Amino acid sequence: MTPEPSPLDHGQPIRKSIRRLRWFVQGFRAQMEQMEQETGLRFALDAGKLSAAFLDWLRAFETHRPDDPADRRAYTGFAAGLMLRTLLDHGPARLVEPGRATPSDVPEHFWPEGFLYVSFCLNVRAAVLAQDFHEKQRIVPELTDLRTWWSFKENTAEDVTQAIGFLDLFAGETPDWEMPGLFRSKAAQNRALTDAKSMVALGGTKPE
Amino acid sequence: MAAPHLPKQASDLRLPLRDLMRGARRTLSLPEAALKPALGILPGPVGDILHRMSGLLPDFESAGQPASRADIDLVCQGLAGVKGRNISRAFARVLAHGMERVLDQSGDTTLLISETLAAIAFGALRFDQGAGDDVADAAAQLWLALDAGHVIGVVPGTPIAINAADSARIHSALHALVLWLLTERPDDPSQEDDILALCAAFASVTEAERSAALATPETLAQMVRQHAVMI
Repeated sequence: MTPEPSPLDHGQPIRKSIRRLRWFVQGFRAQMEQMEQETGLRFALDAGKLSAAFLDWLRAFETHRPDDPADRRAYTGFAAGLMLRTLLDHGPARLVEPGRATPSDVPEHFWPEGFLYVSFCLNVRAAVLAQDFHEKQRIVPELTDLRTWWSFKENTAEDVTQAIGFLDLFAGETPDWEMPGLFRSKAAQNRALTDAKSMVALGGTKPE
Repeated sequence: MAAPHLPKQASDLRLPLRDLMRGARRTLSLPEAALKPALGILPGPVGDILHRMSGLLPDFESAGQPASRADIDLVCQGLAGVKGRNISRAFARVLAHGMERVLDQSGDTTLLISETLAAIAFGALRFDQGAGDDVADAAAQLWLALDAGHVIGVVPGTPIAINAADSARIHSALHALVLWLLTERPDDPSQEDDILALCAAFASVTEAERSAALATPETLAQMVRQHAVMI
């Protein structure tokens, strides 16, 4: 099943609307209903846990948000990873009906809840990238590769912060497996690199 | 001795009568399993009457005047300092409408709501007319007044039989009510109950923050100000 964009556009930029509980819940429910229609699976949704996931995500989003506008594109991906982390942590959805008999060697049947969370987060990420950066999110083989999903489920059960790296992987980006929970400002890194190069060019003295 | 002077809201019998009927309805809507032991002890005819009464009591929200978008708007005007007896009545309806749903959603069967006390409490407050659109301070003031007046309780108007768990549930419900009043209204008025449900879910997962914020009216206002824009 290929993730499709969710109905997240409510007359304001998606990166803003997703930070309101009402749109977050509406978007998540829409994703869940779409997955139910496509797979025959049925979920129960815990409103309290979904609210808790949203609140934890929003607070993490505000905590890690960089000041430099040059980091906005990179932060979009990181924020989507944070969202996956909080959804896995709180587990608001629970499979209640396994649906039509299908092999469990496809991700959505191997780990239905995990697939739902990943789909939602990828769709939010794709919607913001399309709207703010006019980019189209890639669909990569890892998204349908069962071995990747085995690794995803196992590793996030041990350390849920790994979800941030895995979402990058599912989105076709290079994950930071060393410190996935730390947003590294590319703009700051580039400035540091530029300063270092300048110093080398000047023979080790500081530029005036 | 002169008869006590009652605020105008209390001299109208409709609110107290609704309070009485609501209390009876919530009590008698207990599941049959809870009533069975009593039914077994009571003489046959009395047990039969009890059984029949539980099915005959009217549904308040349809027989009375449930809260409307206009009521919510009036209440918000009241929080901004506009005065009027109709505003206190509107608040009583909004409180009853909201609290019934929030308490039912949480599975509570012990707490009762008094529209009479709600109208009196609202009417007695003086809200700052210069606050403009920021009514978080007024909402915090209202929250504390409702709690102090035991508008919601096991025996409304008194602190009788309220334990720590009840108090926590009451504050969660008041938190949900205040957020519902302060947050952006949905474009479609038929979605008000959905927004209320979101506020209740949000309140249910912010207990620690709420307990800390209840320390002062200022911290409470700051918390609801921050939360309202998140809903």
